[in-house]
This record gives sequence, C-alpha cells and structure tokens, in this order.
Amino acid sequence: MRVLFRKSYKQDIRLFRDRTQAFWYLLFLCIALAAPLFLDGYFLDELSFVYIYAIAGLGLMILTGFSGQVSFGQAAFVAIGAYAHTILLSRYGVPWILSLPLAALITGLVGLAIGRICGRMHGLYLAIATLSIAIVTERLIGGGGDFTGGHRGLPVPGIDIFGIAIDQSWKTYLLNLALFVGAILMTRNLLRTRSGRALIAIRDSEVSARSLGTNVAFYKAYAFFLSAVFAGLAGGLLAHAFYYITPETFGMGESIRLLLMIVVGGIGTIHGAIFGAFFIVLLPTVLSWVKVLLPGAIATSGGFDSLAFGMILLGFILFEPDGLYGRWVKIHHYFNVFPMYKRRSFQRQKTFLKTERLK
Amino acid sequence: MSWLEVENVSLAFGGLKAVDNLSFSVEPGKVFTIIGPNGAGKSTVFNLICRIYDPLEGDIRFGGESLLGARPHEVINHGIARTFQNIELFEHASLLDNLLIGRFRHGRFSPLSELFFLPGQLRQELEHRRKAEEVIEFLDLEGYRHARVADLPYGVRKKTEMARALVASPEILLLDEPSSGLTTEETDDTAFVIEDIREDLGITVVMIEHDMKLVNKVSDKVLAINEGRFLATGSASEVQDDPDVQAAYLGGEAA
Repeated sequence: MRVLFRKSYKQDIRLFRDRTQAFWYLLFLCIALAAPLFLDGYFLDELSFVYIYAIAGLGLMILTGFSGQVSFGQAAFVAIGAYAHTILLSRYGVPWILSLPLAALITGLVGLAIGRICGRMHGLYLAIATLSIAIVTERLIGGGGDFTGGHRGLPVPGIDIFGIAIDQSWKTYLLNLALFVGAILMTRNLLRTRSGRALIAIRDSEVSARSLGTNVAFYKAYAFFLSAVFAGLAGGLLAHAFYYITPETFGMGESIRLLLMIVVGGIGTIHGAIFGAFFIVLLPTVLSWVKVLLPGAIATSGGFDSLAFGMILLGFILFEPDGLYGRWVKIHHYFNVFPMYKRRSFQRQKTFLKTERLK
Repeated sequence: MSWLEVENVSLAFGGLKAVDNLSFSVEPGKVFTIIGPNGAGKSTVFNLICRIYDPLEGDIRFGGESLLGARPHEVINHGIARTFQNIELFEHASLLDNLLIGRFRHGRFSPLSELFFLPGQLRQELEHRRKAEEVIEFLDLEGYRHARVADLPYGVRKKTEMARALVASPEILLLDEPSSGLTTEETDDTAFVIEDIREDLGITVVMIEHDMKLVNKVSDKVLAINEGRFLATGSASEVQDDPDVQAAYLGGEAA
C-alpha cells in the first residue's frame, strides 16, 4: 500500500495524483495512439464509436453526474449537433474545421435555452421535461421537410481538414481520439476550477451553494450549455461515423441508452462516462455472441436486446450503484490493502437526519 | 467594521406570525447570541438575514446598506456567511473541495480560462488552496483534508461547515446551533473556536444556541425571543434572570 506524501499545493491541483498515475494514463494514451498499427478497420471503427459516445457521455455526466440534473434528452442534443454540422457542411459549404465547433455552439445555445427553462425543475419533473424535449426534437427534425431531409434523412459529406481528406478508418480514429482526449481534459479542468465546484455544490445542497454565492439558476443553465456543447460535438462526429443520418437515429431510446451508459459506468465520475461508453458500444457485440449459444426462439425474438439492457441496468442499480468504475475502485483497493480488505470500507454510514430542509 | 441591524422585521407563514416586529443590532467584533425555546423563530431570523425569506415589513441592514435588495446568492458578497442547523455540506465531495467552494465569492466566472486551465487559473487555485489551508489549520482539520465529507464523524462535519463559511473570509458569521449534536468535549472546543474567531480573525459572530454553558462562556450580548417576539436583551446572566425569559422557558404566568 502506498501512502501519498504531499509536499506542494500543486499536488492537489494538477492533473495526475503522482508519477505512477501519470505513467499509467500516458501508457494508455500511447496504446490508444498506436492502436491503428495492430487493429483492423472494424475494431478501429468500434473504438471510434466508444470515443464519440464517451464525449456525449461526458456531457451528460456534467449535467447529471456533477450538477445533479437528470436528463433524458441528451440524444436530442446529439441530434441537433449532427444535423447542424451536416447542414452547415453540405448546404452552406462551411469548412469542416469551422462547422464542427459551430455545430457544438449552436447545440450549446439550444441547451442553454432549455436549461434556463428546465433549471427550475427537480427529479421526476425534470426527467419528464427532458424526455419530452427528446421526443419533440425527433419530431421537429422529422417534420423539417427539405431543410433537414425529413424522415428520409441526410447524407453526410466526408471529412476534409485543410484539403486533407479523413477517409480511412485509422484517420477518423485518430481524429475522434484527439477530440475525446480534449473532452476529457476540459471536463477535468472544469472540475478543478470554480464553476465545476459550483455544479457539485448545487448537486449536493442548493441552499448552501446559494449561501456561498452560487447563482443556482445560472450554473444549472451553464451545466446544460456545457452538456449540450459536448453532445453537439459528439453529434457531429457521429454523423460522419454513420454516413447517413435520420431522426430515428437519435430517438428516445438513444437518450435512455446514454443515461444507462453513465449509470452503468459510474455516475459522478469522469471514468464512469468512459467505462460506460465501452460498455454500451461493445455490449451489442457481446450480446450477438451470447445469442449464438441460446435456443433460436429466444435469440431471434425482438425484445431480447432491450431485455438484456434492462436486466443489466437493474443489476447495477441493485448490486453496484457506483457502476463499473465503483467496482474497479473496490478491486483496486482490494489489492492495495491485501489481505486486509473489508467490505465495510465502502459501506456508507447512514446519512444524518435532515429535517427542515430548504429546497 | 459594520453593524448588523434588524429593524422592526415581521414575517408570517399563513396565519402564524413567525417573527413579530423584531429589532436588534449586532455590534461589530462581538459575539451575539440568540436564544429562545423551540419554534421561537431563531432560525427564521437567520433565513431572513440570508434572504431566503422576504420580511413582510421592516428592514435589515449591514454596514448601513439594506440587504433587502440582494438576492440570496448575493448576501455573501456583503460579507455575511452562515452555517446551518442540520449541516448542509456537499456530501460527495472531499473536505478540501467543500472549503474551495467556500472560496466561490473570491473569483469570477471565466469559462474559457477554466476549461483550458490557462496559467492565471493555477495562480488563483493556489491562492484558494492556501486560504483553505489557513482555515484547516485554524480549526485543526489537517487529518481530514482529502476525506469524503459523507464519511466524516458528526463533530468534524460540524467543524467543516464552519470552516467552509470561514474560507469565504466573511465580516460576520451566522452560526445556527454550533454545538447541537456535539459531545461535551467538542462543545468546549467550539467555545474556544468561537472566541478565536472573534479575537484572532476579528469576525463578528451571531449564533443561535441552546447550550447555556456555551452561551455564558462566549457571548458578549444575548437576545432572547419567543414566538417571534422580543423578550429581553443584555448580558447572558441578565437575560437568564429576566422573568419574561424564565416564563417562556418554564411556562407559567408571563409577567
């Protein structure tokens, strides 16, 4: 077991806790960068999806995990980002390098507007409001006629950065990886500065966040804004990964999948969004392997995937509410203190009685 | 140095008069204690000062400036920090993060600088961290810096809340029952802490407290209220000898 000896305030502020941690993360980054050398196109595309979902997941994590606002509407923002990007590219001929940030910004502004409205709601009401946004967005895009391509959808032009065509798996892979790493760093920076702390404060106690000077409505809307920017970015990238987008691609089911993703990954942590993205992208592949082993009547019935998703979500909520990342922390701790591990170490004491809570 | 003045303030919840034409003023650099039986409206007075409730009538001024124009999150900018009766900490954050949130008023909203962690940010963060460390040392919280608040024992959480208010470097500190739920030793400790806050940090303290031993030890002035109305004010012993106060606590005919 290592005990961290702190000698400087910077150790609490900088990105990595210590050299060992920095080493591991940089090693992962190197492996990710080198992946095109030893993985074929199929796996690179799958990993690209993981990165894109992780970006959307990080956005949702900021909103739900850090500022405590449950959202069933994340896919709507992904859709807005995807459509804004595609329309800017194909209809207005905006260069890719401008179109993607613009699409993210447009999505962010929509998020801001929705955040201003929904920020007053809590819990179930907020969930229903955001769910309705997901449904309305899908309908609006579907009814958008020629502008959005309606239900027929829109073809997505290829990526072209300063005349360099990003047309092979390894190229898009590296592009997605770069934006994914950027998104992680931004989320991390958010969390170690003032605004990020304000979001966490609002999540845990609005009344005391207010008493310390946080404008709750403003920061809730800011969380929506950031979340939508990330979703818009993911949407733009996802459009390229699909080549062709239709409103159904970003339906309500997708929103639920994104929420499921951060819950299974581990809510309230950056790792959670990433673990969750791996889970959600790789699960269909794993399920298709499982289906081979099952009797045909079960494997081919329509609801099998949904059932499996639901069961897994239920399992996590019942047995591991901290998600995959929480489980990983426990395993890590087990080996760290071996053979002294106690299950108790992670049991939370009962929270103290809260009466007269001011909402 | 600013006076806190509460002038003819009233508040009603429906037919219930929670605060009834109450006036008092708190001298800077002193410890001012509000006592009263359950439901006397003590916490309501704090919530009025912190703008959670709007008074029906009357005025609340700090340093001559009316607070009634401020929104709840702007009260801290006047230099007024508070703690809560039932601990309102950020449970899932570390003690250190809780204190850093306390530094919120000493910063500006600068999204780009934050998201890209521009060099100025590091300087600011170090400054906040240094200030947090001062308070950690002041309240002997060194052992808990990186512990999750939800895992801390009650006494430490209570102290953490006080620390979080102190890192905001307020001019006046409102403590809502600083000793409730604490052991005798911790209560004694709290008395020293409050004296230190007044002597060393020069912060005015307004507190709501039931533990008369603590009240006697630290209060410069005591105000007794009941059913939202003024009962008596003066030194701790004067207030305790007041027949109205005794009647309020023990029942019987009010004089």
